[in-house]
Amino acid sequence: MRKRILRWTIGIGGSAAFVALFVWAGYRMYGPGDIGERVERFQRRWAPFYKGIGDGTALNYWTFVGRGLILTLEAAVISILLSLFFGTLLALLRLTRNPRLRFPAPTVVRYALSAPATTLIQTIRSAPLFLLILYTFIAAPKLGLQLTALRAGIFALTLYTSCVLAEIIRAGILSLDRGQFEAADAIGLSYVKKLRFVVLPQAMRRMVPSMVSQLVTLIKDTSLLSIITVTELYRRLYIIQQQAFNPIETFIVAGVIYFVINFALSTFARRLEVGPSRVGGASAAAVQGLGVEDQTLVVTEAAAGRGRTSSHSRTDP
Amino acid sequence: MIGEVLTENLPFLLEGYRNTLYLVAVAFGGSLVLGTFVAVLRIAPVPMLPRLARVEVEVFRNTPLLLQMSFAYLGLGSLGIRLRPFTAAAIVLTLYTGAYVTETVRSGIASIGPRQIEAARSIGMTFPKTMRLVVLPQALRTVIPPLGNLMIAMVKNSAIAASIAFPELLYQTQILDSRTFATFEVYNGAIFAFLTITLPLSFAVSRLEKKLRIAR
Repeated sequence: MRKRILRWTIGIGGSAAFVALFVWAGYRMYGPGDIGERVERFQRRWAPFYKGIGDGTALNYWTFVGRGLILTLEAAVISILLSLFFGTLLALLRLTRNPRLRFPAPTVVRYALSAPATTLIQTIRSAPLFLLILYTFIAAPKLGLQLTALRAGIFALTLYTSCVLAEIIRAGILSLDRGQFEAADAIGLSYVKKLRFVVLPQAMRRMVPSMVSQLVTLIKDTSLLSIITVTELYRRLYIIQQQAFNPIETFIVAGVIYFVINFALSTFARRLEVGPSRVGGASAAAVQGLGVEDQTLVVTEAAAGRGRTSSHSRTDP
Repeated sequence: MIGEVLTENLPFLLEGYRNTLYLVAVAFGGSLVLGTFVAVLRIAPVPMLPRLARVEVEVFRNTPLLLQMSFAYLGLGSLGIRLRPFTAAAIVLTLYTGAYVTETVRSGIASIGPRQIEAARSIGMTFPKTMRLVVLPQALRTVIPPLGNLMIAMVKNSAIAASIAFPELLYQTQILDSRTFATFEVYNGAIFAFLTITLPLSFAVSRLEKKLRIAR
């Protein structure tokens, strides 16, 4: 009984402190002044979201923002699709050296193919995406390429994501049972057929959850394109905020938009993950016993190291 | 490839390099502490707090880091809470990576099995004691490699602090580029500088991974 009281005190006290922090922040945000002034300020700063800016006739607020959202999603989807293609290509190039795939070429050729791919993957993956975006944008004209900011941005996103996906795909391929490769060779499939009918279909299926979480990462990362003047979601909200003088409110709204999209996507990814890569029932039960509602989340390969793939398959934040 | 611009401005770039390292050191330390604490909160046998912890994690994981940076620097600044760029960047990186640390530590906790916890509880250990003496020492050990990966990711993410004018490596690079127009030289140098941080880290992580795998 005493214990239960203690628990409830901690729980309610902690939550109350949390809520109080927000109430206090909200109260301060619209200060100084008496309550009437605060309410008036509150209304004025939230008005742009339903009334628009100025007299509200120039351009509908949400049309303006909506176009940015479409651009954001477009950039993310184009990049992920391109990266899927180039990522697979890079992974296969890197794997030419691997004896398990038996790439039909002399050793020298296999190394000549895999070494540059490996270098590229490691270099790009180790550099900050933000740097790559700026670099592409600034360097492209100096190379005589007339790229729009959006294209430069998509190029950088694709370059980076391809290299990240290449490692995921490589790990996915290597996670397949050795017998699969041997069986494919035994029935005399050519290299291409082996990949097309045996290796890639299985590997890709295992990688669907990582793909989706990579898409979430990409949607977040497209906000970096705002720095190179692409008028995607974040940049549009940023511009509006400068005219409406409501940075906090705008950033909150921006956060909500990104959150809704990404949370939906990552919940979806998590649901996909429950299938084959699930950690044994014992640990799921352990978490349940500890009172965690969402046991499907207990999955990453880190758990007990039972995962089949290496660290590379994890999508970085 | 290494030309005059780089050699002449080396101290300028090294200052950025040092700032990057400093930012990552502070923020990663912070995110380890915060992330572990929130991970424990998520399974604490008290009402409501686990849910709040979950909300915190999901919010920081699902919104762009750039947005969080702007929020802390410009947004709070507009309220009169003027943080220095370093403080804002360190807080935001701590919270952002902390959310990922929480999920990682949680998977580590899940991996050690229910018997340990049941045993600890049945000999009369309190929940905090169970966590501190039984669960966390084991859980943290299993998640060292993924935590290393988070650190690598943080080194890369720290470049976003350039957007709020914290003079870290990328910011210094941008300035140097706009001063000298030696774009390729300067940016290649910056990529190389980032590689000198991230490559040894990822090498260490894969070594650790192999070691831990054999030990198991």
